Amino acid sequence: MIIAERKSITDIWQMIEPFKRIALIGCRGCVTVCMAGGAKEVAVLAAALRLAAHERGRELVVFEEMVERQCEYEFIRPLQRSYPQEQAVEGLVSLACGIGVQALAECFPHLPVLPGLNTSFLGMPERSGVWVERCHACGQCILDSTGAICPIARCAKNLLNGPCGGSQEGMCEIGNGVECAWHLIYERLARLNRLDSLQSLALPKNWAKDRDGGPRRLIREDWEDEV
Amino acid sequence: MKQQVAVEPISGALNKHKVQPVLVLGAGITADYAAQRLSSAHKIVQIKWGPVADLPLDWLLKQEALEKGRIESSWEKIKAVALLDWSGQVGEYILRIQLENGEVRDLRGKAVVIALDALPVSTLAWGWPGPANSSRPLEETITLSDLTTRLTPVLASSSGRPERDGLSVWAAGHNVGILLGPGGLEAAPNTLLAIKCALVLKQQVDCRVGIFYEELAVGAGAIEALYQESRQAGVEFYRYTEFPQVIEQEAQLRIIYRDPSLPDHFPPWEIPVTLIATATEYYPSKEIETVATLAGLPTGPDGFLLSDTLHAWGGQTNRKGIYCVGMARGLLRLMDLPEEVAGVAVDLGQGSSREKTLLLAQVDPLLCEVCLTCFRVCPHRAIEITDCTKRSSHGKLYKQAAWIHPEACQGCGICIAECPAQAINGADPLQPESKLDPDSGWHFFMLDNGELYQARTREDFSGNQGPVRLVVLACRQSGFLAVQTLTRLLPFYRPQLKLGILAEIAVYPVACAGWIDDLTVLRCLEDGADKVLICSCHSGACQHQYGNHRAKKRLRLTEQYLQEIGLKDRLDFYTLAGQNYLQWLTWLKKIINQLKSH
Ligand code: SF4
Ligand code: SF4
Repeated sequence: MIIAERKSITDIWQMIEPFKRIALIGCRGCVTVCMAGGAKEVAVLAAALRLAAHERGRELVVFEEMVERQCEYEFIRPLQRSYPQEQAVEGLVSLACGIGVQALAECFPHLPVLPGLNTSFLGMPERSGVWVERCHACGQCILDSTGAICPIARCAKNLLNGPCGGSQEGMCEIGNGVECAWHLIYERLARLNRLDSLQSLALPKNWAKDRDGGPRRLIREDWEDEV
Repeated sequence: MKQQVAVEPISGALNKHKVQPVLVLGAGITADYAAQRLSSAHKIVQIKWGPVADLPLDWLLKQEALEKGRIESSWEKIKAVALLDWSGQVGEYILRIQLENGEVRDLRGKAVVIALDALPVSTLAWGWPGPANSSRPLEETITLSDLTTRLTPVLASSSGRPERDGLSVWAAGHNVGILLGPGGLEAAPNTLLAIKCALVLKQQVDCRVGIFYEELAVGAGAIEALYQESRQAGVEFYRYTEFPQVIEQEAQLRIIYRDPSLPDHFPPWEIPVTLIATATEYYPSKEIETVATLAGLPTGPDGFLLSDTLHAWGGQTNRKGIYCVGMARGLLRLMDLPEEVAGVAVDLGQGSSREKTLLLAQVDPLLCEVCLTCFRVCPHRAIEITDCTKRSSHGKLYKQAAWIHPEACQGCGICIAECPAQAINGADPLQPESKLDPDSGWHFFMLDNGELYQARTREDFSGNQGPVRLVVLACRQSGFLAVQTLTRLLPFYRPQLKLGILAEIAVYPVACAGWIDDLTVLRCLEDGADKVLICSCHSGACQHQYGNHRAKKRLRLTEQYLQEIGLKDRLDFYTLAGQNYLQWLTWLKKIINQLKSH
């Protein structure tokens, strides 16, 4: 899932400085699960902003809304009815990933839409309260040859042919408790008795399918609406 | 390779829906004892698995059989070589075991009693070195656990007919020295054993007894009172800084002891003894670890089950319907075995009629995002992820959602605080949604002269907005008890007093500090509180394992972002014990004075 974290309240406060009436829009998808933009986080942020306004003697009305998935127009559109003339609120703060922020902006062309979260990475909870990156969305998956451990997302240098000299006792030289992806790959392949797959040289990857090829788009013709 | 699983273990005649057995887990004498004792009222399936400690406790079984006059027949024994899985909930637990012939079986039981033995692994390295100048084996030295075992009949007999046979043979007239190893708290179980044994030897047989120690962990648990009692009874205590030597002189053992409070040039004491007991270390077997992992039971730092859960009595664990008796909780529990099994029997007998918890958490499956937060955090393992069907105007909706087992839930509210989708509600008057119900708590005024009064009605309270408003969220197990005591001691406020009100204080009970989340605190502040004060149980004393810790961590973050929005010193966290109302009062006064001076 997409992992995100809330921006500091100071940042959010500065963003909403010009507005007297705002709505916080949460998302029931990934960001609920990673504790960044669910119903609870929306309620907490709203309460905090109201308190801050009260403390500073500032007038501020905060609405709270939840959307099933903020990355789908169909889920956002009902909100348009809540804020019909775009007068009811002066700005929207999205507590979804960057995708949600932009989808929201597309549905509300005349309203400022502000990001309440920093979208961090594609990952999973390693344990309760700890999320780790697992996929880089590189567009051309190589997990078959690397023992299902991704060296693009998990090696600091995106190496394709084994570890660098900074791999020490299983840990990456960048520190922060990051494990060396290539060490993990080696151990796993050894366990699977498949070390031979490391014999062949991985040729340079086609990065055109990654971000380097510009914004990506995926089309399934069989599913595509007639236009 | 997938193994065939045979369900339905129980002998044919049994209607499994009506008479689920109680599963007893363990192969040693503690398990036999528990099984036998419980078999008078329940059908028992004993899973013979795990280590067998060599404990001469047969008398326990005999005495029990004598009392009952018979051993019930509904006591089935199944030998297992492995425990593979543990699922289900109170009412029906399912244990998957492997038999000697490799067959895998699922055993079902309405409750499980864990009665695994622990094993003595070594006499500690610092422990009994043997007399420095003798090579003959000495009958005069035994281990502390041996001593305990021999004294257990006396220790355990509360019925007024102490069984002293075992004692008189070897203990009468002895001079006993008990050597405890260096170390403080970790040695607490041994300390407790030593003191208990010493007390029995002193009072029942009139031995002279001395305990040699580096540090007595009297602060731990119930040791303090016992320590006082044994001092008064005449047990001698010798603190050492250097482990005492033992020598043999004229066929007499002597403990050479140097009193650390005396100057160095003083000669050491020579204390003649006829019996020396040294502490043995018991280690939890790997079976205990397996059980803890599979069943989701907490272990203490020593690896034994639940060694530090203060509120678990009668062998209860954090999960309803799972009990743990005897050595699986550490050596020191051995002496409490009869008492613990009795507790289990009582608890089993009460079944579901047991007092309901105040708060029953419920998940709204339509709001649940199946994030697994509650499933992971519930200290009582009461939450399952289930398929659910919900009718809506569009027909049927199928989805997965968290579901809280109403029997297993113990109402701490931790899941309510942590659910990011606000999908869990508690039938508590204090729901996050409904804000704090002003009628559910207690209200106080502090007057200008520093006196504290109770508000008689809520009107009294809200009509007199003092300059300082304090909201106290107090755990029912600690802070709220303290305040409850105060309500019996404080006079009621009368408006005729015409004294200025310095502060008004509203105290609300919460099931556990773990129920309190950032939103609750923010709502209190929004409602106009100048400060929110949280009172929880002391560290390590939470009935729900870690409710207080989680609350504390959570609220540390809350404090941070309160600072970010420019609110300083608006939240405080205190721990206290239920009887400590005076301390609470002192805090209250201090906080109000601080607030006033701002
Ligand atoms: S914490 Fe809430 S959203 Fe997550 S699984 Fe539990 S009930 Fe569902
Ligand atoms: S209230 Fe406590 S015991 Fe009940 S389900 Fe929630 S976390 Fe578990």
